[in-house]
Amino acid sequence: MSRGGRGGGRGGRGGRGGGGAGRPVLSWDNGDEPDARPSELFPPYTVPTPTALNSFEKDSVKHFLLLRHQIHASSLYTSRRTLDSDPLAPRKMYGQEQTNAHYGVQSRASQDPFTSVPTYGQRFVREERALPDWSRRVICRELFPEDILDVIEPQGERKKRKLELTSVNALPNAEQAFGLVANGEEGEDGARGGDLLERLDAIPTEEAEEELEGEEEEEEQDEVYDDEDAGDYDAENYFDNGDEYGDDYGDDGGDGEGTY
Amino acid sequence: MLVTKHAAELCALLVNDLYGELPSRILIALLTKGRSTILQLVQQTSLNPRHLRNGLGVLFHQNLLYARTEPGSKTTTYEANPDACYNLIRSGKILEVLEQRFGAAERDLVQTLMLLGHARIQDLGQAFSTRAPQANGETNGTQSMLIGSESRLRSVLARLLQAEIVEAVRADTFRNPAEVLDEYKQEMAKASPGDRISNKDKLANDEKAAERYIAFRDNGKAIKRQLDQTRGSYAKRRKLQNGHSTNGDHIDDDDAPHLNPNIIVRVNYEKCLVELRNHRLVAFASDSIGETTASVYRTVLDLTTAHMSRCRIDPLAAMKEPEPAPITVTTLDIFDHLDEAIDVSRGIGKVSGDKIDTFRIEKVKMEVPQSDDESEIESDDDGPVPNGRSNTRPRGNTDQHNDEDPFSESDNDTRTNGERSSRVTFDDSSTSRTRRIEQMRQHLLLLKDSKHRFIRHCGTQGRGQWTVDFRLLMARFRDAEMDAVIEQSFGRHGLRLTRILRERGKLDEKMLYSSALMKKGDVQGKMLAMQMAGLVDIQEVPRDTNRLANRTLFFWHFDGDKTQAQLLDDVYKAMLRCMQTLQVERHKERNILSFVERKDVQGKEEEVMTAEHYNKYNSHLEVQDRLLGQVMRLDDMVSVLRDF
Repeated sequence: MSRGGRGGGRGGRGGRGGGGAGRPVLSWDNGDEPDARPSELFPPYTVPTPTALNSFEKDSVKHFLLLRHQIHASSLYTSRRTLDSDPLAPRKMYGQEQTNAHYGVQSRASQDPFTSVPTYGQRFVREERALPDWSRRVICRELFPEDILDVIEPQGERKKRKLELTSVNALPNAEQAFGLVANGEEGEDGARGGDLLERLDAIPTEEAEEELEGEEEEEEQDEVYDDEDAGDYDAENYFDNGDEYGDDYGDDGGDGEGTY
Repeated sequence: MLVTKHAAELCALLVNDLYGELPSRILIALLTKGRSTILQLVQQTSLNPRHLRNGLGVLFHQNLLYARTEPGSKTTTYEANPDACYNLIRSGKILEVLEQRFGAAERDLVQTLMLLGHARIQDLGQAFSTRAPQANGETNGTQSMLIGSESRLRSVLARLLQAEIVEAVRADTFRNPAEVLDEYKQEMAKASPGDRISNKDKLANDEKAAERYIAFRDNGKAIKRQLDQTRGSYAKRRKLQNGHSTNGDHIDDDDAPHLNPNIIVRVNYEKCLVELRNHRLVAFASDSIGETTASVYRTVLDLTTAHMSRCRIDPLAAMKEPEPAPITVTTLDIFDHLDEAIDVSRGIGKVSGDKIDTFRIEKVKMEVPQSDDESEIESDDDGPVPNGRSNTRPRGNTDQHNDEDPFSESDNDTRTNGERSSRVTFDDSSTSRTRRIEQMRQHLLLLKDSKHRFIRHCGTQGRGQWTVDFRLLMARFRDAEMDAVIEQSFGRHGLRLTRILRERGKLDEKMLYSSALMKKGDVQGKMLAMQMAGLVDIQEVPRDTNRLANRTLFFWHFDGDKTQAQLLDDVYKAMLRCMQTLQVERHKERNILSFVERKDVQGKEEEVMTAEHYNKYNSHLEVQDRLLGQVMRLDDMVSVLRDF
């Protein structure tokens, strides 16, 4: 191997084509200069698409979601208390204090006055729980450590609680809810169908419909007002009867109106 | 489970998703700070003690914590149980496997237990007996499937207890097992006299401690042993049911056993993992060989794992608990348990008898192969075969086969051998039973001879004995999984290079490219890329004291364990990202989702929601399914790498 030819771009101290101070002969050196160009920021990448779920996986997911749904319906579930719960917002936290400050800020003091006006529809929203509700749980007292036992089941009230099974036994499924599937093939779906009927009977339907109509009306009304506004009173163009000054100010007439 | 940053975040996110923010917040503190008392937690989380106690209560109720109260003091220290937290993601899969294996009633009960964490049998009985009529009053078809009475509950529960899916809980179950072992060791050390303990004594002490630990660990299984004695073992009962694994609608209320109503039970995830592993293996066999063969394999696995309570040896008890002897099953046993609906004549090809090397196929391997040698030719373990080698057959690779062996070993079995030669021509004269057995044997031989070596032929009694070498099989599985990942990220050539390194240890670069038959530049590029990814590494060995670069040898090597650990962490991260994406998706559709959850909407979404919302909601459900499905696939990988 000739060393002279390799002095190349990285001559360094030895200098270009320098005789003695080149790089040492190394068995793995094949004379190529390493490619020092910066690599592409977003190299072409074929995004792999997963295959569709097979029936086993689908059923597993269904079971998992059902379990999740049941847990959420149970009395031990505590909902989110963070106010700014947007997971999209980048959030870096330094230290425990910041982390703690981020939690648990949803309280009466931090309510948004624009959305917290009680409305009729909120009667139906599932109430949020800050603390788990132990009063309906059967506790195996001997298992729990003493210091949390006081909170879970105070010594005073030791009346016999009864274990309740969850009443949720199906997922809210869009297809079924919309009546696209006439009758479920599985037992659970059947049970769901029954449930649905029961619920329909149980809840006075008029209320909800009224409620919904009310909402829709509101929206419609807004639109109506908008249209009328445009015809009758146009705030944006109130001062801007552009023709008069348009010639003076040239094309910027619209913007100039602000400074006017 | 090694808790890396991503694993900890994943656990916290799972708990957040399932149980809410308060428990998750406490869990993060416990995972990052280690075991703490309530006072310490107050400092870390700046939650008030009441909130903390409630949150800890939830975690404890769902078995996600280890707790320990020192006998003298009143304070309790809490520690997160990361394995239990991680297992939450598996619950869907476990439920599905149990439904397939046992039936809807069993699945229902396990689901209830998952929901409750743990429960007293008495309370369960009362709850189930009161629930039944109103929950599914209209659906008469499913009534028999679900638990409707206390006696039915007891029989279902007994079945699960005997299968070890459900275990009994006592107060000390909530202690960290490693800690328990440590405590036993300390006690032993205290008990032994003298302040200088010889090595031998120490070993003896450790063994005693391990023994006590095993007793402690298997405490929850006492009820199983009791049931086994009174009702006959689980395997036997299954035999009586003729191996119908899928129909769980046997209503055997009559023999509902008496169970102590004060026993508290919970789900035993270790055994559930064994079931998951079986399912995974069957799915794999189905993919690589065929469905019929897979269903035969399912039977073999069910029989061999009936008494296996965990996938791997408990590392804490390894001292006193050697690798259990492989469980063997005979062909006839398998046949008795095989579902009659399976048509075993399918999925096997026909080849004339003289084209088959019968001796090679029927070769019996008595011993557990020591290593996972790809080339079974040289290091073959014919050793234990009693007769010496007499002659070799003039065939290609049969120098290791002894002609006489199969016959001399199995004199009582010559009839079978005789049939074997004609098995492929489908002897019409034999009765249907023997033909069925023969066909089933073909499947077993297929499983044995596949490159994954699903089972091992280990004896000749009962028309052949079979066993599964789980340790080796899963090691092969792990390697395959890792190979797939390497191939995905570094292509065929990267895979080839790592495989060479894995097989031959540390290699000089020259050796590497000459044995890989690749160009020098290509090898260098690939190796550098892999080094940057942390897969391979370089070791320098200077030839003299000067340590000049050209007087130094550089060896490439591949560290399988490290790669595996790293891969595992990557998978945790991928799972975490999937779950986070799901959170974002939920946040995007929060209006619709909260609307669907409204009490007046639940059950009659069709009237209330508009088509546009319906479409959005539906597509959200689809996205959710896909993301969770992906998480579960990743979990499959975690299971293979870590648990199976």
